[in-house]
Amino acid sequence: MEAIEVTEEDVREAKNALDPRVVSVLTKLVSRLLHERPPDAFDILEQLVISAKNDEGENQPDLPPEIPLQNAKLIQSFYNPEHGELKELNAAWLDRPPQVMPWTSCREQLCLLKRFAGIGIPDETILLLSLSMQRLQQQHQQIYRLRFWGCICFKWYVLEAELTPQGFVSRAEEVDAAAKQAQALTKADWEERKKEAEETGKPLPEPPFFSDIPIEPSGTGVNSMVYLVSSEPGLPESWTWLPDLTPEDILKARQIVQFPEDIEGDCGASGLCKEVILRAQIARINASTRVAPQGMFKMKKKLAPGEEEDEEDDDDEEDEDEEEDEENEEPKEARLNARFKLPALKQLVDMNKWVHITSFILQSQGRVKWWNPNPDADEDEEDEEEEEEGEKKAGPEKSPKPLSPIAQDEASPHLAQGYPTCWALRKVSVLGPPAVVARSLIWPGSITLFYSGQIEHIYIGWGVKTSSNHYCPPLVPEVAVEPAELVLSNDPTVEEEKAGLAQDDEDEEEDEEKEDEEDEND
Amino acid sequence: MDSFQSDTIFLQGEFLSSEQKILICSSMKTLRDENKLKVLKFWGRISGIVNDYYLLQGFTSDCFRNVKYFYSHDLIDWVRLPRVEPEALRLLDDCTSLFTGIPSHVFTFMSPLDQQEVRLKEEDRLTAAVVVINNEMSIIPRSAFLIGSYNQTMKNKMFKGLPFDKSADQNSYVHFEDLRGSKVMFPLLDSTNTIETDFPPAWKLQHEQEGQVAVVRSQLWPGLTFHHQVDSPVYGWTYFGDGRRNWDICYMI
Repeated sequence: MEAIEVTEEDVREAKNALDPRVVSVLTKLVSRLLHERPPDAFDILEQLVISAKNDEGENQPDLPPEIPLQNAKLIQSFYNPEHGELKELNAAWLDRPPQVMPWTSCREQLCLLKRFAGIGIPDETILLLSLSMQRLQQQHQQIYRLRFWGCICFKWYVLEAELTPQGFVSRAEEVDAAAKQAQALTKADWEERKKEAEETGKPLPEPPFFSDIPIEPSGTGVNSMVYLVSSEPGLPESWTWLPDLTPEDILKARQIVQFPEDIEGDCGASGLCKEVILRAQIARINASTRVAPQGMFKMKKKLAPGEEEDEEDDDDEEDEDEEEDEENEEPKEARLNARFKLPALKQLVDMNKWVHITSFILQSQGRVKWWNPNPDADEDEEDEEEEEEGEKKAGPEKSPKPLSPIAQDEASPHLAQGYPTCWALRKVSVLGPPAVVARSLIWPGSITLFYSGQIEHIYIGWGVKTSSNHYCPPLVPEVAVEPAELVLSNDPTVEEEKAGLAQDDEDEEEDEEKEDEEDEND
Repeated sequence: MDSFQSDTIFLQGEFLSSEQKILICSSMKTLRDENKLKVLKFWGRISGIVNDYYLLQGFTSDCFRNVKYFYSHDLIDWVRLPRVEPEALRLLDDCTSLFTGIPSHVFTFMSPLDQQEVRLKEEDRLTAAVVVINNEMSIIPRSAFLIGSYNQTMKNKMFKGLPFDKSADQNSYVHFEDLRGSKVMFPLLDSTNTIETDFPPAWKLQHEQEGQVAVVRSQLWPGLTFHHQVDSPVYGWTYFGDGRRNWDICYMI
């Protein structure tokens, strides 16, 4: 350690070059040390500097962090419902059956995930979320059940809501009416523009294209749940309802690579706004990553909320063939199996023992259930017509059987060399409770925790799919080298060209004659 | 208290469960004694298909030279990562498949630079990834570190934390690099190598917990999170990701 020498000149230079406040603090410090000579000066050196600074009036008292006023009022209102409306809501709340309390379910879900899977959500956020969920369910009577779905881009908190049957029906009607209105408006707009174009002589605008594939009504398929999103989980007013998805939305959203956060306004040519893209990503994540151990869920007839399960149904469902399922129009869903036996930890870590519990979204149609574009395809006339036009008859795209094991999911070999799976299963602890976490490799951030008969699923991530084939624009080819010997020659005149062509023709005729002679000889 | 134990002051995806934290703390004590390290820090986790790598970073006397890394699958047995190979550093970005979790696995892939198939061992790739992430992505709040009078990079004991308005500014987060020998008087204080001047601009800064915590996340290496409690000397960063650079970043932001 070298000792640093300080000369008088250095001191004078410092007084001129340094900030005058620094000089005065230093002078105060040194003078204090020389006059008071504290014995433990080295240990309390920082304190001395702070107190010297204090004399300058530099230090301000530490103020407590500022909570935005809205949140403070909200939290107070939950505990002090002096407003008439809230008082009534809270009173009616007490009569509701306990199993639909979002308060307890949210806290249980998140605390379980935090304890075993190590999901990092601050306690305050859990509290605010539960309070908001409770308030939302009080205000909107059509919500039957609320669940915290997850967080996209670490900014938007998403809730999953299951509506009552009436809720779904009225929502489906609203969506239908809105879609028809939008279509009518687009058509009217197009006709106006067409008239304008005809009058001014400009090129006609393209007619609007409306896809034939119908939207899956609220409560079924891709739209089986309704989602709410907010960036301020503590404010119930800030939750916006995400719209239902048309099949086109999903097909377009599959092509978008951007982080949902960075999309501004209409996303380029696709014309999808942020909300639709968010909803589409949520749908894709749900379809690909909702899994559970085998045997925990069974495909049974879909029940309305509040309807009780018929115990006789249990035995019938196991024997049905796949074909019968397709013909059978009854909607089915995966429901908890009451006779589920807790599997051993060894089985839980095996990928063959985990299954998907939601249906896949079809590649071609953006729906869960195949919609037949040609319902009269049995007639022969139509078949012939189609063949003449050169179109292939589109057979129904078969999605994987419901409750198919996750071991069948294959990642591209480019992405996962040697172990082409889409899932990572991990035991939560070496010695402790038999809990297993299933992590998706394709949608990073999607986590499912299975602990002693309970299953919890959450998504906290950026809302984008993993890819390994990164698009790189093709490189410009190398600059071609000029030939070593550049031979210059004169441009042929017209007569020389004609003479040359005539010569070529003669040569060709000779060759053909030679070939004919050879053929005859053979 | 090390920063990894105060994880739930901001929103994260997967982090450490309580059992994992206990195991890490106990392992850190033994590792520090065995290797005579001054500081041992929890660096993060690189997830693989079959297994995950939990990583610790150890410093002896210098923050930049002779940094040692240790990895473990189960937080009980730790292995020291080998020194980084220049070959691995060169090939790191061409290898775009996920880590498998088996250190002896060998990746075979096409290298566009060499125009032929190359082989890369997973352990080497892991070291290269850790070193690259550390060198490119270490950030500190401005004035958190100083260059001391004996030319060593050291923590600033007088750092009381960034105030709220400064913590919302991307200019207050400086890349942590070796600036000794710089002609500027206070290089780490006045550094212009902030996250704002990075290309591509893939840092997302937001406040959580009613503005108490400033969180900076990287979109170039998804999973890298830096947090700083406003008006307090608490800050830290970890990496919880799959160890691959996000090459599609230019299309995504």
